Amino acid sequence: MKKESIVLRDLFSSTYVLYIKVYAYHWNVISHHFFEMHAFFEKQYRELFDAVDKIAEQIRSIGEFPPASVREILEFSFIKEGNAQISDEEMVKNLLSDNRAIADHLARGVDSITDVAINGFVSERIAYHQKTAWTLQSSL
Amino acid sequence: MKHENITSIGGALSSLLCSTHALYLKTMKYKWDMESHHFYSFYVFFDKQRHELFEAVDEVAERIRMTGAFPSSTLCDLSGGSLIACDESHDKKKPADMLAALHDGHQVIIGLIKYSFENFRDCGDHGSVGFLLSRLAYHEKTDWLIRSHFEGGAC
Repeated sequence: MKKESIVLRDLFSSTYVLYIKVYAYHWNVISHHFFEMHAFFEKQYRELFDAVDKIAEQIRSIGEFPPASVREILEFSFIKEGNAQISDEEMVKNLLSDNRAIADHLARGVDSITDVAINGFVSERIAYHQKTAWTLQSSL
Repeated sequence: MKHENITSIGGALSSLLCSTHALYLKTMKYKWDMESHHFYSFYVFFDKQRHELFEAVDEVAERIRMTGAFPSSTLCDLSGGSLIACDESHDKKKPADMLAALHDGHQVIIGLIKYSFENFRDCGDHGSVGFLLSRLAYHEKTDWLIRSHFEGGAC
């Protein structure tokens, strides 16, 4: 399997797991800052909803198929699922850790991608997760 | 899991959430995997449904929170509670087979809601019963749109 195929496959799966996690935090959060956190998480899950589609289409554009089943997504994701009935502070810390993990993982793999378009696409995803990590860090 | 095993309106909402997510993921997969002379038409058709099901997952989960319960919150739990199985195939699929699979998925949810209405309509939670019926109308409409493709011989 080509290097860029593996990077995109794992990015798709990890983005989907993060998307479901943020979705669940949006539903489950109970806090003095409920509406702020509810809206903050909604912004993120909507961005991830769009990202899942863009990553899948990038995979199709190189002639491959995204791993669009729960079994495959959980197999290839490099971030883990967890309990979603936790404090708002724990939610923010978990999302901070996951966004950093995705940015760092991609940063390690991006240099080996020689296709200019895919390299640029992955770099944009790194920038997104770094920016989201900053907004989460600033909330703590 | 079968809808006959559901014993409460809360169980019906939980099953609806998990099954809506599964149908959402399957609809997206077919949007991505589709190869056809009518590619763009199907692409737009499935993309609209993907957006509708995405919003529906949120609405069902928030309805569950309104009842005081917590929704399935991981892919493991969403998958375990779904009446609709994922499509794990990677072989080339005909558009007609994709449409048939989505038709089956909508029919499963229609069956779930009708069963729940018949059994839990007098549970006292009028909001949840009304909510389920609003979802029934969506799935019946979308199923009709899907059926009209293969009944019209477009595939």
